[in-house]
Amino acid sequence: MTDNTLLEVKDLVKYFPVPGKQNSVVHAVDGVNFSIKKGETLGLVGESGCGKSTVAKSIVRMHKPTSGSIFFESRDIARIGARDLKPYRKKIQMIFQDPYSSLNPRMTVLKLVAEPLIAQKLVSTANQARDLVIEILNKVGLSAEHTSRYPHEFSGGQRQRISLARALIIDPELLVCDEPISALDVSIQAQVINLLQEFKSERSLTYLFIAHDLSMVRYVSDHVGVMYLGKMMELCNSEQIYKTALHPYTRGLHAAIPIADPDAARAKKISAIQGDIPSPISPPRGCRFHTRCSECMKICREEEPELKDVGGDHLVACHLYTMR
Amino acid sequence: MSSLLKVKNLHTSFFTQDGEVKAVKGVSFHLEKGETLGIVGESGSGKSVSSLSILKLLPPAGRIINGEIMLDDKKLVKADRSTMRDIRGGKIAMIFQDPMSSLNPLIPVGKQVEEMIKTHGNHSKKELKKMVLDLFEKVQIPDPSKRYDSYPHEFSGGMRQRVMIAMALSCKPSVLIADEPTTALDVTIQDQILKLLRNLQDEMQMSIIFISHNLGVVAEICSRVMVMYGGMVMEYANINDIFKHPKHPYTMGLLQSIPSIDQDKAVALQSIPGSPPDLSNPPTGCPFHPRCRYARKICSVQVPPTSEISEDHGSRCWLLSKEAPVNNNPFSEQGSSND
Repeated sequence: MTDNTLLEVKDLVKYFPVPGKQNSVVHAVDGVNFSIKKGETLGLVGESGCGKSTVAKSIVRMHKPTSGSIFFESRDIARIGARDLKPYRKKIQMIFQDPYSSLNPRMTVLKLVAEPLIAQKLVSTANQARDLVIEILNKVGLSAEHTSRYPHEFSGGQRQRISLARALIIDPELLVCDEPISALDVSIQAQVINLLQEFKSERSLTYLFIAHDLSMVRYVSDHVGVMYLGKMMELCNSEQIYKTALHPYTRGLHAAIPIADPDAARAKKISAIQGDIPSPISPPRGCRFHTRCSECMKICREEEPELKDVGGDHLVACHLYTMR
Repeated sequence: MSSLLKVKNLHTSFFTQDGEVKAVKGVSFHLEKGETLGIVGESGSGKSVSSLSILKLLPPAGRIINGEIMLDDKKLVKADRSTMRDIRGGKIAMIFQDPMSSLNPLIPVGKQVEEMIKTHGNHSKKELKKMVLDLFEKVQIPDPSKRYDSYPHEFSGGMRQRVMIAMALSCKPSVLIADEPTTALDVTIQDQILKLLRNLQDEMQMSIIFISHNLGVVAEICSRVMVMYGGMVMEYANINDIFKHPKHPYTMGLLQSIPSIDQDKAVALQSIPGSPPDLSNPPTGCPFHPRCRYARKICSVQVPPTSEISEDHGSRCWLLSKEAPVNNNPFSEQGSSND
């Protein structure tokens, strides 16, 4: 662990009980390791049910991990209590996918955006709070006149700006973005992404960026992690993930992205991944991806590959590369 | 030219407490046999309302105000209920974005597909089951005879969408309307469904209207594209022209706002400023003018006519008129070379 590591996740495990079935659990996250350096963006991609959102929610401690550690500035916050957690709530903030359900419809924008300030006792007077709210609203492209309005008066893109203002007003160090643009119209997505990028350079913010749109993830991230059924399959810098992806799953995902170029789309030959994602209640033995992998070998069905460095800051969990 | 489906000057409005909301304002298009027409647009662009109008499946507040819809030589706007019943599912079938809410959770999927076939013809029980099993095989549902008795909740999203496709294809429709059929699915599953649709289209010689907001998906499956905004068709062209030679600032903006897979990270994405128009209070003139960087005075006053660039490529933009300025005009030869 180098000095400027902001967040380090170690052997993170989160199981959820299955209602009505005592002995079975959902293996949402099953031993995930990664770290994010200060000022960097880590992108997490994967299909639904791969555990990427559970990782995010564990980091902001909306979930208490089953086991494992989450080091934030060298302190393990995985199992500390609510009181000890409070200073970290200021440092780690999150924005969600759906700006329609993540803002209280009965609060004005002023109240919504000022709430974190008040919860963290960072302001003493209402005027002070108001000034700070207007300042941050201006930064996200809204203005003072919006403070007295309610969420329903805004479009999806504007609501996501309000969420962003709410997260940034207490000047966090890590911003966890769980699919921040998937609910937005195409022409609005770029606006929000550009805003996130501006804040990154201006405040040297660190991001954990979760999305299923791979080209967007590549565009915003420095490093990209690919998750499948609760496991990290590949982790490397964002250029490698497309140019020299190693894991068959990553290559399959790559092949499945629709390309907005009719010539390229038609010339595409690599076949994408067959079949459905297996149930996380009873994940396959051995490599979790072996049931859908076109290069499955005997060992893949029996032994689980470990995430190993294959050189050049490139980690992959696949027997194809660890055998050598 | 006799097209399979022709829509002419379609106007559809919703009558709400706050007055008339014009969702579709003069949409015209045609669909040929065996082709896939893409309709691209953001929320509120009128893409779904246009397709629901064809089937007359509008919610109670919605009404077709004007226009003509012709399927072969049948006029659909004035058609009565029983004619529409035969057409829905029989001639024109539809699949939706969310396959969970389109299936009845209390009935096994096999029975639900049977119901569709029963509505459109007389078959014995044995025949019906065989037809359903064949359909399941066609849409590549593994182990059809076992899955016949399963309930929707036992299926994954992709499998449910396959059931919906099986249901839509059960009466061999000549037109399939697919409204964002892959939006709720993962990319890997999306890829599988798109391949399936393409294969089935070849096999059954069916025409598809494919509604999507995802330009990548459209590039993969469509042969012609129509770009909608604020209830109007802004541009239509074949797939290559739309992506390579767009002739409308909105189409250009859409294409620039999605990062390509080898996008330079140092360059900020070109976003379209502002947000889509409020349909109950639409802007005057061209619906896109408040967000258009080439907007001039005339754009806010008068709706631009559709200029034909070539036989099957048209664009609704004042920049293409003869009087358009040469400077700051991406479509004039001089303007673009200055750029």
